[in-house]
Amino acid sequence: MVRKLVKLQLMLQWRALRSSTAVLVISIIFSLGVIGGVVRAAFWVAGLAMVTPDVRSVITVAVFGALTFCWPVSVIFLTGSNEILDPGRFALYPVNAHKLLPGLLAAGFFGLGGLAMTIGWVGYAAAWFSSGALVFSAAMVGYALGFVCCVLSGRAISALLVRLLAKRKARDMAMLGLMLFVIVASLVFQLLFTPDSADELGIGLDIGAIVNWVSGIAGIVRWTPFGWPWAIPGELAQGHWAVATALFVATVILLTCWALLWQREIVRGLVSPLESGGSGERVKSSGLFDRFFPAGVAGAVAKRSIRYWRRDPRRLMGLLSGLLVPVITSVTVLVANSSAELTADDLVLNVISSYLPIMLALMAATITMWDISYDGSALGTQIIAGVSGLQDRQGRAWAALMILAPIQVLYLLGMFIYSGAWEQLPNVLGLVAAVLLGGVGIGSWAGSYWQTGQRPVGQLTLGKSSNASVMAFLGAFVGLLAPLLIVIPTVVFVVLSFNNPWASWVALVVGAATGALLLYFGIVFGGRHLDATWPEVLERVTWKG
Amino acid sequence: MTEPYATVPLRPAYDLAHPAVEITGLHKNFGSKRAVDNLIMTVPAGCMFGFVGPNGAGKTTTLSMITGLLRPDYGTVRVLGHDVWQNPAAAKALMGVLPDGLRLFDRLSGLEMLQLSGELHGLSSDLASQRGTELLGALGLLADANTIVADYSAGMTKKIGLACALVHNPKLLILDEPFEAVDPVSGQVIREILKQFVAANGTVIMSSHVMELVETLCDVVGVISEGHLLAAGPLELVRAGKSLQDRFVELVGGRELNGEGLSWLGNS
Repeated sequence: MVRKLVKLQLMLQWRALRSSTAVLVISIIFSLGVIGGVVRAAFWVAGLAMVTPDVRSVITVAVFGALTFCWPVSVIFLTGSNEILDPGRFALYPVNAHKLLPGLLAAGFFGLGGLAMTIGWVGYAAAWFSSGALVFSAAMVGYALGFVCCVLSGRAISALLVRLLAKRKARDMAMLGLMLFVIVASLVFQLLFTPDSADELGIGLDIGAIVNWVSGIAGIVRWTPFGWPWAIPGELAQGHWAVATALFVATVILLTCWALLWQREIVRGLVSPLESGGSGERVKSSGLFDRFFPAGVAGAVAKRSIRYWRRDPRRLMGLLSGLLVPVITSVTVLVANSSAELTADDLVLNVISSYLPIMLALMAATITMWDISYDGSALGTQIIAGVSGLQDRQGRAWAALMILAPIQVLYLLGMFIYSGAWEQLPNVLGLVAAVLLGGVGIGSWAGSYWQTGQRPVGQLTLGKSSNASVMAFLGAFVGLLAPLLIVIPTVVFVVLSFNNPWASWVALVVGAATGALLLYFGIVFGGRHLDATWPEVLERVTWKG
Repeated sequence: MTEPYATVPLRPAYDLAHPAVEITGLHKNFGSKRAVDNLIMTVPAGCMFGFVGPNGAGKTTTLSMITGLLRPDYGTVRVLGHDVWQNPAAAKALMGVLPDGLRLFDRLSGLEMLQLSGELHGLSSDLASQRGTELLGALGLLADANTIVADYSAGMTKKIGLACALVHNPKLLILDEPFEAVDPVSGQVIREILKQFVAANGTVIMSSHVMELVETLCDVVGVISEGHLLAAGPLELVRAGKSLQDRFVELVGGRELNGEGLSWLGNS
């Protein structure tokens, strides 16, 4: 059974990769990049052989403990639960959890994560090699336990989540919850670890602070389940036999608990394959809300699109994650600049902070570009109705601007009220207009050429397919690069305005004109391309999972 | 064993000078697989046309090419005089479509979905809303008008799809498996709606695997297999004195298990 399941997993993974040459090539490049990084990290870990066992222990516990924590989280976010070998798929076969578990576990070792951990093992072995046979053996056993712990916890937690999230409403809430957790955690991280001792915004972090910080983390991680297997060799090297033995026993108990939890989920999966449960959620359309949209087909597209921004958790998450960077940066600046006395540097920071709203506008291109992909095969409704490409592009652009413009205005006002650098307002307005309007225009055009099948919102897992992840990565790259090119003409006048205040107003006009032109041409040319390729677009956005 | 299309003439009573759908030399390949092969078919206006064929015969592929969802490799499709691929907007304005396998915008409520469908077809918001409410009532979905479509059962989703196809009062209805997953009571309502639609000179093309259903509902049928049209014409002529089920099996070449096949089955 183990061999069969591993073979099945590898075969299906290979077929998914082979689905398109572009995906295969990008996946290979991505994998080589990851492996390159891991090999460098393994050399770095191996280099810890040079330091004393207690320092080595501190660093390895912090690094590998963090990895053990991140593994199940990444399984959920990046790959979703192991859909290929979902126990529910075996529900009709005469197999029990006892038979399946070893095979499913073994399959979990095969993949990029498994390969990375194996490479890491070599570095870890080199780090502890010179510490004597006993400590080395303990390190190897500890690594094996830690490795199994990663895979087992990932499988157990994703299986548990898949069951808990079988209800659509619960799934939506969990997706939002996870996203908010990431936002809040990032903010807390920023606030807690803004380096007071360092000069400004993390520039010039001193090594002593980093070592202290890592030691602090390791001190906490060591006593959590994530650090147990990694702390064993360090304790042994320092002669703490009892502690090492206790950590070993605790790790074995932990592994047993993970295995039992997972086995329980497999048993449940085998007798009750998952169903997508409905909650009978009722919604009410608002007539007032509808008045904000023009009558006609483009207005109908816009109304539908904006409703999806609220009701589709994938889009809401996209919006929230787009807000993440500006919010974190703004909070960091506000915290860093909250000292009582204003210095010359603070005044410069004030001016810089008034330019931060441009970051929010940067997300316009990416958001507009992926909008059509999220429709999936429901896009067929528009094609059947004979909606023209122009009407589609107009409607979606309208909806994107209805969402982004008010947030942008509030953010802009907030930052200017804080900074008081009102003389920069024409510059910033020009840049924002260029990036926001131009971004929506470029997104409208690029979105007509470039789509990817997104997992429908009603399906089980939280992750994306490798294909969608790769395309999203490339899309994000284009979505960020394009606005940087758009603003070049405006930036010229912004730079000029530092010595010639009149240039600010030219920057405003140039920015608004650039944005408006790109918006117009993006919609027109994007619409034309859609008219010529509707069936092909439908084929691309339809999820083939 | 197949019969050429020409051997089954259409009943002259139908207006073939102004057909609802005219397909000429339609081809579609998926890689090396030929899904539809030189299909020539005419659907007269004002009839209930049953489009039948075994699994993988090319029914959905053909219907997708008629409705503008799938581009043919070559060949033409004309809907009520408009070329679907040269003048898609004019052709689509006259069609109401229930596709198979495509999702709806299921984060909208049933009523919102119908309003959207109506407005995309050029109805005013108020008219789309009024017709949507009436259709929901007729299909027994009024109580769930404000429930999001994602929370509907398969049968309810099918009915909303059908309502979307009807809301703009098209001239031609193209329905892929319209009765699949629909309960008998709603099925009866749908039959009545379709009969009323045809009586008012509308045309319905529906695909189905249930021969009894096609036999009782349709007056013209087309049989397709492996991308070829095997027979098309008035029901009475196509079934040639047999039940449609028997005639269908005869046309597409039924398989019979000989005595040796699967002899192990049930002998454990």
